[in-house]
Amino acid sequence: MTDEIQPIRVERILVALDSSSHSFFALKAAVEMAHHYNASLKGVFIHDSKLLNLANIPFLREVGEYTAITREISSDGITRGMVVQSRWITQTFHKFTNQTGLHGEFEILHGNIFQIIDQEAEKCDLLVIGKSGTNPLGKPRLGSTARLVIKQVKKPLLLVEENDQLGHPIFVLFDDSPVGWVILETGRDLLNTGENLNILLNEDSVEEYRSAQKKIRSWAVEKQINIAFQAYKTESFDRFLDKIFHLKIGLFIMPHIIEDMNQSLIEKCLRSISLPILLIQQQACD
Amino acid sequence: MAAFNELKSRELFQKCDPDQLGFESTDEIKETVSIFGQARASEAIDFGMNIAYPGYNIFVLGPSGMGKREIVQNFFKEKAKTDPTPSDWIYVNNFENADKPEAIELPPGLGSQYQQDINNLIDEMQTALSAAFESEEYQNRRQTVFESFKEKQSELFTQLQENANKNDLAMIKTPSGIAFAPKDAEGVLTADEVNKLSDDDREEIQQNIEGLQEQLQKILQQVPIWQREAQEEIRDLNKEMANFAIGGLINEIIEKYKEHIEIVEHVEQTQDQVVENADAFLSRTDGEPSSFLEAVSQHGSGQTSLMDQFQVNVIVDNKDLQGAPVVFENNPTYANLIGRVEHYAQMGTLRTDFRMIKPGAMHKANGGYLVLDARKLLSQPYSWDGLKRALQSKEIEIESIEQALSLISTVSLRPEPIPINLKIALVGDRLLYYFLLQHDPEFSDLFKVEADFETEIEWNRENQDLYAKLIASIIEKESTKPFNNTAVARLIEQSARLANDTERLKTKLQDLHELIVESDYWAKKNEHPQVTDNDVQKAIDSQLKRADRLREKIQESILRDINLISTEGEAIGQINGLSVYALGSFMFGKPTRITSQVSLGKGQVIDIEREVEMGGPIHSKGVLILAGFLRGRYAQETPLSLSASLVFEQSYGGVDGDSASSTELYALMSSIAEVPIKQSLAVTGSVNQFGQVQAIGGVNEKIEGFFDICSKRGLTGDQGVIIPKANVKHLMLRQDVIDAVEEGKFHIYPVEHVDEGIEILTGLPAGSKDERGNYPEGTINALVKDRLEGMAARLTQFGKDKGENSD
Repeated sequence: MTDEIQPIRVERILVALDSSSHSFFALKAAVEMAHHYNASLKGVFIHDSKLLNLANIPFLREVGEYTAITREISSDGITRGMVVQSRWITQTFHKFTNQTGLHGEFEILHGNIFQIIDQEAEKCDLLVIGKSGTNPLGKPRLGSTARLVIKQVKKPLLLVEENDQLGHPIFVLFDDSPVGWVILETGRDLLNTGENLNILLNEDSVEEYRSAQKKIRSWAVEKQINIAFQAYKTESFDRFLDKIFHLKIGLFIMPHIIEDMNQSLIEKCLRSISLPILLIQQQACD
Repeated sequence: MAAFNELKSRELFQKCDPDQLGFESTDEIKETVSIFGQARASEAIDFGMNIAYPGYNIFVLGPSGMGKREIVQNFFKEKAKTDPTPSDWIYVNNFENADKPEAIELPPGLGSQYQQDINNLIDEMQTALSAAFESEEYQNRRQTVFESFKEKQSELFTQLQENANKNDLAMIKTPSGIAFAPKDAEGVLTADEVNKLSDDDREEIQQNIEGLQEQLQKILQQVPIWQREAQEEIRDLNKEMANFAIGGLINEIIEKYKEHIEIVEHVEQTQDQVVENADAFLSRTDGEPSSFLEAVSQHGSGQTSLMDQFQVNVIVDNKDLQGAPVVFENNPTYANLIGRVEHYAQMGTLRTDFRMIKPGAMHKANGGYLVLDARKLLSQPYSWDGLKRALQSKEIEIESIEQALSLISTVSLRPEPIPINLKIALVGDRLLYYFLLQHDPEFSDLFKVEADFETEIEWNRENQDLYAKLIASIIEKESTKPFNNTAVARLIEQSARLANDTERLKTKLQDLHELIVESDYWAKKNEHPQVTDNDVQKAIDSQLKRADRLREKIQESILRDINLISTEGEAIGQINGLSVYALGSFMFGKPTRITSQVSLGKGQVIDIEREVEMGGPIHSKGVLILAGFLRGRYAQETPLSLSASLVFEQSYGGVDGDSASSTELYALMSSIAEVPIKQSLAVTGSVNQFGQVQAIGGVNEKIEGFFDICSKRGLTGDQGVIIPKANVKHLMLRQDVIDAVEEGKFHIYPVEHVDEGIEILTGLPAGSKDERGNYPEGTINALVKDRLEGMAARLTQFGKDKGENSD
C-alpha cells in the first residue's frame, strides 16, 4: 500500500493576503513552501465588496481603531484605505519573492473574499492563509474567512498564525486511512535529513495502535527515516496539545475532516496549537 | 703682464691632505657623528627640551637640507628614553549627553586592557541577557502579563461581539477602524435591504449601533491604558531579569578597576543603562506586531547593536611604548594635528558617535615630543591656529574646522577636551621664523627657544676630523661602499667649494648625503672595491652635467657671437663684467659686456638699467658710488662736467648687486681717458668712493664662467680675471682652471684698488697725485683728469657763447 501513496504534489501555491499580521507570516511560510516544492507562488489581495457596501448604508459610522473617534464611512475612504493596504502588500510580496529568487505573481481582486479565494484555490495545489484575519476580537481566534475556507476548500491548506515559522519539529496526526498515509508521506517529504518525524497515534484501540505502529515502522525502515511515536487517547489529546502549545516553529500536519467539524480534532488543534497547521483532505489521495 | 701681482696655482684651491685624515678607509672609523658644527643649535635644543615651563617650545631654523628634523628628533628620542611613559586616554559614551563623550585618563596600557574587558563584558552580557530572557521563568512571566492583557481585551471585545450578535449586528474591521452593520443569516445586509426595512426598524438598528459604538469607544480608550500597564509590568520584569543576569559580571569588572574611580563610574552607568533599557536588548521579533505593516517593518529592521554605546574608544594607547613618545607629523592638516570626528553613512544620512573620534598627532605625542615642519604647518588651513589654541589652553579640544568657524550648525560631537603636556619643535627656514616673529604676536610666547643651525663652520683640523667621522656615519647608515681617504678628502674639498671659502666647510648634510650616495653609485658602476676620489669627482661632474643645460645654452650663445663677448683685442669704454646665475643650488658665472659713453654734462652718471627699471637698488647704489669716486678724485677744483651712461649689454633679465661697480668704473675711466681696455680680461668686484675694491660673492663661478668661454675659443695666454684681493681666500677653483694658471695660459689678478686694476686693463700706469694735485703725464689718472678739465672748460665756454648769443 505504502508504495502507491505519494506525498502531496505542489506546483502552484496560492497565498491570500490581507492587512493582518498573520497574513505577513503566511506569506513567509508560503515562500518557504514554494522553495521546498520548487513551485510557483501567486499572491492575492481582495478588495472586500462587503466593506464597500457599508458606505451605502446611510447611518453607519466607524470607530477609529486607535483614536476611538466616530466618523462617517465613505465609499472613497474605504476604497482609498484598501488601495493603500494593497500597495503595501504588493510591495512586500514582490520584495519577499525577489529576495529569494522566486517566481511570484500578485493580483488584486475585487469581490466577496471567500468566494474569490475559493475560485482561486481551484487553480492551485496548496492554499496558504493567516489563521485569523482583520477581525478586532483578539488574535488567537479563528477568523471567519479561515473558518469558511476550512469548511469549503478541498485543496491542502496551510494555516499560519503570527510569529509562526515553518521548521522542525514536524508532527503528523496519523490515522490508518489513505489520507493518513498521504500525511505521513508529506511529513517525510518535508523532513530534513537526520530529523525525526513525530507521529501522533491514537491508542484508544490497542490492537489498532499496534497494527498501525508496525506498519509505520516498516514504512520508516523502507523510507530510511527516523520516527518517534507519541501515543494519545482521545480523552487525553488536549493534554498533549498543551505540551506543544508554546511551540512557534515547526509544522503540524493533520487530516482535513470536514464533517462534524465542531467536534473534530481540527477545531481543537486550531484552538490549541500555535504552529503552522497543514490540513490535507481525502481528495489529495485521489 | 708678469709685472702685475698674479695668483699662483696653489692659491686657487685649498687641498685637503688625505694623509692628514689618519685613516685609509672609512671602515676604520667607529665613532658615529650625527651633528656637525651645530653647537649653538644643539645647546638650544637641549635647553628647550629640558626646561619644564610653558611656552618653551623650540623653533629649529636654518636652510633646508641641514638635517634639522633628524637632529631634533634624535635629541628628543634620546631624552624620551628616560622620560616616564605618558597615560592612555579613552573616550566613552556620555550616557546623560551623548553629544559630549567623556575622556578618561588611565595608566599606560590600561586603556586597551579596559577596552578588551568591556568588549568581553558586552559579549558576556549579551549571552547572559539572552539566557535570562529566553529562560522559561521569564517567558512564562512575560506571557502571563501578555495573556492577562489580551484576556482583558478579548473579554471586552467578545462581550461586544455578543452584544452585537444579540442585536443582529456584525462587527467589521474597515481599513482604518471598526464598524457595526446589520446582518441576517445570509450575512451583512446590503444598502437596498436596509432601505427596505421600516423606519422603526432602521431607527432601532441605528440606536443599537450607536450603543455598541459607545461601548467600543470605551474599550478602545481603555486598551492603551492596559497596554501601558502591561508594558510597565514587562519593563519591571526586564529590569529584574537584567539586573540579575549582569550583576555578577559588573561586580567583577568593578573589583578589577576599583582604583580608577572614573572607570567604576562608567561601569556602573553601563549597568544602569542595560537594566534601564533591558527591553531594548530583547529581539524585536519578541514583540507582537499588530498589523501587516508593523510586521513588515519589524522584520526588515533587524537587531541593531545596542551594546555599542558601552564600548571604549582608546584614543591614546601607550601599551607598547617605553618612555615618552616622539611623533613627527608629516602631513599636519588641522584634523591630523588636533584629531577629528569621523562619520558613517546610514540610510542617506551621516551619523557619528564617540567611537568615531580619531586622535591627532597632539594626542599621540601628549606627554612627549612633537616635531612639525613649519612650512607644511603654515600652509595647511587653520592648523597653525589650532596648534596655538591647544598650546594656549593646554588642552586639545576636537572640533571640526566647520564647527570652529561656525560654518555649520548641525549637531555633532564635542568630546571632552584632553589636557596636554608636550614639547613641540617646529622645523623651518629662517625666513619663516623671522616672519612669524614679526607678524604673529603669539609666536614668541609659544616658541621661546630658537635653535639656529649654522650653514658653515671653520675648516680646521679638528672640524676636518669631525667631518670625516660624519661622512663615515652617513656611509654606515646608507650601507654604501667604504670611502678611501682620497675620496673623503675630495668630499671635504667639495664642502669648502660649496661654502665658497677655503677656510670654511658647508654643514648642509643633504648635499653631502647626496654626493656620498652618488659617489657610491659610480664606484659600484666602475666596480671599485672602495669609493675613490675619482668616483667623487665623477659624482660632482655628473651633478653639474645634469644641471648644466642653461649654462651650456648661454655659453653657446656667446661662442656663436649672438651674445657679444670679446676675449681678445682692446676697446674704449667696453669691458667684460662677470655675473652669477643661481638655479636652485646650482650656480654658474657668465661674462657680460659692460659699456660706457661720456659726453658734456652736469656730472651725471646714468645707470641705464635703473632708468628702465631693470636694475636693482644695490646696483644703482654702486653706480652712484662711481659718481662719488669721480668727484672725489677728479673734480675737487673744477666741476664734473660730463654726462656718462653705463649699461649691461644684452641684458634682458634685470641686474642687481654691486659686484660689477669696479668694472663699470674701469669702463667709465676708459671712456673718459679714451684709453682702450684689454678684452682678454674680465673683472669683478665692488668699489667704494675711495676706489678700494671690495669682496663679492660667487667668485669661483665667475672666474670659471669666463675661463670656459676663453677655453672654448682657445686660450691665448693673455686672458684672465681681475678679482678683489679679499676674495682670494674664497678660491676653490676647478682643476682645469688651476692647470691653465699653472701653465700660464690664464691669469687671476687680485687687486685692492682700482688703480691696480686699471693698470692691468690698460697697460698704462695709474699714476699718483703729486703735492700740487697733478698726476704724472701719460698716466690714466692724468688722462682722465685732463679730459674732465677739458670738458669743464668746454662747458664753461659753451655757457659763455650761449650768453653772448642771447644778448
